[in-house]
Amino acid sequence: MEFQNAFITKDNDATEETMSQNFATKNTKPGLVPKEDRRTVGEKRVEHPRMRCENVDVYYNDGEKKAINGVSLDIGSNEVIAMIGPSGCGKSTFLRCLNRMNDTIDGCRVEGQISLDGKNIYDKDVDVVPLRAMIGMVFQKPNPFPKSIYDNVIYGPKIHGLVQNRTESDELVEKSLIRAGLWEEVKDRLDQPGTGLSGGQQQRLCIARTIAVNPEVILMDEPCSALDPIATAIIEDLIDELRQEYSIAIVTHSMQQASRVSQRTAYFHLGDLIEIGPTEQIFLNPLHQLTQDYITGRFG
Amino acid sequence: MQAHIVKSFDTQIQDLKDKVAQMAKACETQIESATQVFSRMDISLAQDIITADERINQFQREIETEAVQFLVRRQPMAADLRLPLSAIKIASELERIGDYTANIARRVIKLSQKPGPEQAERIIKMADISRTMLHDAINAFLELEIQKAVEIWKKDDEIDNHFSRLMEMLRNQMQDQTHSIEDCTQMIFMGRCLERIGDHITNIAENIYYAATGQTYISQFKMRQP
Repeated sequence: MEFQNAFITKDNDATEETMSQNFATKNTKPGLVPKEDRRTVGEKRVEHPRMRCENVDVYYNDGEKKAINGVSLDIGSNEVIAMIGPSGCGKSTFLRCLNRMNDTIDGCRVEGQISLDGKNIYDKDVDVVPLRAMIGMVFQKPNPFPKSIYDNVIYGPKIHGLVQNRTESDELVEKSLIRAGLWEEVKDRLDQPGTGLSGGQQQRLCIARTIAVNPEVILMDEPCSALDPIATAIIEDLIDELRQEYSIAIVTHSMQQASRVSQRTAYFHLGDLIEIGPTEQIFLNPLHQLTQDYITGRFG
Repeated sequence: MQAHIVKSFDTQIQDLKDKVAQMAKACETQIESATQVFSRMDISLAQDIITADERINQFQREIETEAVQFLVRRQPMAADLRLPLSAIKIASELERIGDYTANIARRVIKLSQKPGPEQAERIIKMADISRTMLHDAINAFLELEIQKAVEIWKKDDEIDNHFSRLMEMLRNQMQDQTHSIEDCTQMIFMGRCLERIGDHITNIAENIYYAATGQTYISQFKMRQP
C-alpha cells in the first residue's frame, strides 16, 4: 500500500483511510477504489507546472448540462499528458478549456481557475488571440488553410507580428517545417496548396503552423485518428521530440497511443477526473475500478 | 471481475488459467506419487514419476505459447496484462517443482534400505505440507485471492523448520552409523528437493499476489497486518 498511497492526494480526495478500508473489507481482492467513488485518485500536481487547473467546471446550454465536474490537474513543463476516457467523458471539452476554445460555443460557461505560468487565462484582461498562439491546438481532422504550404505556416506569425520581412519569413517557415519533420518532403513545392498533401503530411503541416507562433503548450485532439499506422508513428516520433520544448496535452481514443507517447495519463469518466498518474502506473496497475474497467475493455 | 466486452477475451483468459491449474495439479500428483514411492519404497512407481515429468515440461511450453499469443493478439492492459505475465512465471516455477519430484524418485531408487521412521516422517511431512501449499495455490490463482497467497507464502517456514530438523538427524546418524552415509546423503538430497519445492511455491504465491495487486513484494502486505 505504500506505493499506492504515494499516488493519493490528500486534499478532499479518496483518502488513505478509504483506500485501506476498501482493502480491509475486501481483503481477498485487489484494493481498487470502488466505482461509486468519483473523487480523483492519483497525483494531480507536478513540481514544475506549465499549466495549473483548479476545480474546473464546465456547463453547456446556459447551465443546464454540466459537462465537467471540478477537475484539478497540472500540465508539467516538457511533458506529454494523455487524456483518455469513453466518448462523452469530457476529455475534449476539458482540452478545449485550456485555450478557451469553448468561448466560441454559445451557452458554454467555464468556472474555476486555469492558469498558464501562474496567470489565469480566464481573467478579463486576457486577449484570446495571443493566448491561442501560446497554447496552440491540433485537431482530429487535418485542417490546413486553402492556401500554399508556405502561407499555411506563415499566416499565424504574420498576424501576430512575429516576422518583419521575407527573409525572416523564409527562415521561420523552414525552421517550423524542419521541426515538424516535413521540410524534406515539401521544400521543393512550398508554393503548392497544403490541401494537396497526404493526411499525415497535412497533420504535420498543422503542427508546423502551430509551432511557428512559438507556443508554450500544444493541445492535440485525437491527432492521429484519421491517419494510417506509419503516419501515426511519424507523428508520435514528432511528439517525442516536441516535448523537449513544449508541454503537450493529447486526447486520444487509442490507449496504446496514450501509453506510447505520454508520461502522465488522466482518465475521465462522465465529466469527472477519476484517476491521474504516471502512464506506466495507469496501464499496469491502476488504482480505480473505473480506470481498470475502461482500459481492460470491461466498461459498460 | 466484470465480464469483458469481447467474450472471446474472457474465454482465452480462462483457458490460460485452466491450463496453469492443470499443470499445478499434475505437479501436486507428482509430489503425492513421490511420497508414496518413498514411504512404500515402491521402485516401479518411481519410473512412472520420471516419465510423467515430461508431460509437465510440455505443459510449460504450451502455457508460454498461449500466454505470448494472448499478449500479442490482445495487447492487454492492467490486470489482464499482469495475468499472462504471472502465468508464464508460475509455469516456470511449476516446471522446476516437476524436476525436483523426478529427482526425489531417482534418489529413492538409490536407497539401500528403508529409512528410519523418524527421518521418513520428516520427509513425508515436508512433502505433505508442500502438496497442501500447492493445492491451495491453485485455488488462490484461479480466484486471485491475495489473503490465501499470503498464507501459502508464510507456510514455507514450516517446511524450512522440518528441513533443519531432518538435517540435524541425518548429521547425527552419519556420525554414529558410518555405513549409512550413502543412504543419508540420498535423504539429504530429498530433503533439499522438498525445501526447494517449498521455495518455488512461495514464488508462485508472490506471482499470484502480483497478478492480483500489481505489487511485487508480498512483504508489504505482511507489514500492513496488525
